[in-house]
Amino acid sequence: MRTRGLWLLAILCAMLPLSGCWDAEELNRRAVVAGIGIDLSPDKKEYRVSYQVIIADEISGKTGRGGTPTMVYSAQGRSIMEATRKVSMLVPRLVSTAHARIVVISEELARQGISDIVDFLDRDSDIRLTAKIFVAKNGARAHDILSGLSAMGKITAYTLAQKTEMTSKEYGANYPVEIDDVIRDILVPNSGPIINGVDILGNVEDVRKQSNLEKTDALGILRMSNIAVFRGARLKGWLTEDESVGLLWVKGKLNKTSIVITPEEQGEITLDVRRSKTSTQVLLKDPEHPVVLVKVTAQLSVREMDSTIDLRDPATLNELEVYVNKEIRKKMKAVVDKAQSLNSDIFCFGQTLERQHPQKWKSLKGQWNELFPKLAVEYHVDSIVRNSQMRDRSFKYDLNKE
Amino acid sequence: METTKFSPLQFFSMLIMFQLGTALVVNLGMEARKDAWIAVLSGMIIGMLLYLGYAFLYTSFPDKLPTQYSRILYGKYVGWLIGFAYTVFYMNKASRDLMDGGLLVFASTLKETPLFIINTMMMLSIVYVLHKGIEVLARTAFILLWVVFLIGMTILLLVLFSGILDFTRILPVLSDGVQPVLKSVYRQNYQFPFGEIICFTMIMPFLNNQKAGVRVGLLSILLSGLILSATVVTTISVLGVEIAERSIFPLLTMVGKASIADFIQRMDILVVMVLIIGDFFKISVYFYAAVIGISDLLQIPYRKILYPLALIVLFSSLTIARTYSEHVKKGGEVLYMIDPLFYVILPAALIIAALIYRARSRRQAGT
Repeated sequence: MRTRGLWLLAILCAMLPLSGCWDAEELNRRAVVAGIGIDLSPDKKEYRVSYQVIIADEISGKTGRGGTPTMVYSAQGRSIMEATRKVSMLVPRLVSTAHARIVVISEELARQGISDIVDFLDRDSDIRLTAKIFVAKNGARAHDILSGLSAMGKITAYTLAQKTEMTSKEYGANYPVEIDDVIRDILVPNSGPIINGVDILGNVEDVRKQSNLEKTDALGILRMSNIAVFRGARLKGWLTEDESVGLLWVKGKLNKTSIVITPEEQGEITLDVRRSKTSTQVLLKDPEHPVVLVKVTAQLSVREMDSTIDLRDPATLNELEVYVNKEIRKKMKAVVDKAQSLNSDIFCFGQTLERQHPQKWKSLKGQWNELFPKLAVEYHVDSIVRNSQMRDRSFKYDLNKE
Repeated sequence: METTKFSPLQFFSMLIMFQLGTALVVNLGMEARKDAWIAVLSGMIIGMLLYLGYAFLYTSFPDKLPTQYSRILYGKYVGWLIGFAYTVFYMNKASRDLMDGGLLVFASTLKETPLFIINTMMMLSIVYVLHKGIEVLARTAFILLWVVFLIGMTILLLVLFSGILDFTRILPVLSDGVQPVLKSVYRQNYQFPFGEIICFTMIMPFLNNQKAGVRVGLLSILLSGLILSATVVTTISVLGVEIAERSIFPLLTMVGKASIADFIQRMDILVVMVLIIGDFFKISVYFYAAVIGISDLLQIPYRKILYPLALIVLFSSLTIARTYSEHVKKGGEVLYMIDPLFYVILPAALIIAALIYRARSRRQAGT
């Protein structure tokens, strides 16, 4: 009798853990956040945090009511976390940020400083460091960016993340910047992170309406924009498109891009960069004035030409290479000049110096903010035009002969 | 004493699991910043020397527990006290590791679950295995070693193929000189996790092959030292020392960063698995060492005191510190000065006594 009672007790005890995980919150009780947007509140004292939440019913199709696939909820608070808690007043489910893939910060806030935001993103155990960061450009609020709808892919935040990946590979005026990149760069002395801009092409009001998707040329579309330069945690300025490409070249992040050159007495020739490699060296001929040497080797192919030159002759290709080298150098110089005028070592030349000459860095570290704006930078560009696609001469070559 | 025995291979797996245990996931050697990996390697070398000392004691008394031979060497009262000090130390270590594992699981994944429940679950499974005996624990170690190995390989491939490694982040090597490295070795690395294998002296008498056992022990320190050092290098070259140093759980963050084609990602839960498995062995071995020691000192059957002692470990794990910071601070600022008593000083005293004892008994045998 006594053993039977003990058994019963044991079975009853076993029922407690059998109900499963204490922390379990089923998927249909969660609101999955795809993107986070952070603005300043209208009175500039608080944060306004917006969450792009995926509406699963609309994604799966059958149960949809014809609404938008995502919804944006926002709340205001003195910190990001407070605002997040307050969002529960609007959302019936547990706001779950584990799948957030983008974080958008408004330009106004970025100019004020992002260190508080970065700490939240770094510390939170749900948000992964792989989330991509953007700055909303041209007066767009982060809220507006998240409200946008896109024709390809139902979840705008994920589409934006894909756009970043794609344009980084194809055009090279952006490259994916993730949370940990920002944290590391803020901590580099006299440097700061670089963050991709994003803006709205078209009307802010139209881009958030479902009717936006009912025309072939959408009224509004989210566009990857140029790169924002920070110093410390504050936004200092924007790069132009050429400077952005130059930046990727200096940092060695470039995959593909196109270069248009106009050799003398010839029409425009467009070349594709297929592969490019950058190495940076710091030379210490004069110990007090280090010189940075940026070496680029690029492989190109001719894609388009409005010209009659004959590409069968290797000498012609060599001539083209000279123009290409000049063009690449021009882009790199533009961005270096810009960074020096903003006095932000976004290329991390300081770290290169530290890695190559650790002893010298110790003495120069203190004066780096005075040295960097006057730093001499040399460029060695060596490009090779590998091929000219399917034709060697243009059809115009024959046109001219007759 | 029990008569169960285990093979050198099982001993090896237990040692590996014990050393990787919590060390793999917590912040290791970060006082040396970028050069943490050097600190880990230096700690490993010191650990091997310490182990040779422990192995010497074991080969001098191959079938006796340390609590037994300390009484032979230092007499009934002092020897008993030394043995008792060790068991208390092992109990404390077991509860500290229980706290470690519980808090890390609490901070990273199970945020709503009370710490008491997490720790109780862990302690229940440990007590269950130890009730079956040390041989079962040894066999479990061998099986789970493969699980950990597979997880490790998965993580390695994941990190390699997601292209997030940037080895320039550990450069320049030794930029602040050797001082931070030495400091880190002194404060942490030779003790944790390498010096901690002192508790294996309590279970080495159950080895079925004395010579091979000693050899695999040395090999296990080498292997786990290399694994730990490689892990530190990987973590720093993925996250950069700026993030890794502030992380409570750097490996978790590092693996969270890895993703292949936006498809294979969020594998960080694997790290939590490794933590739980490793922590399980760490607590088990410490706890077993304490239980067998007390059962020998007080002459109480082993299974009779297993459950009461488990309760002590469980409750002291909850009361040992109120916050994670307090827990870490105690380890980093106080215990590193007390623990060497058990890793270095007492073993050294025992070794000296054992040398004299050997010489004397040889002389007696000679005459």
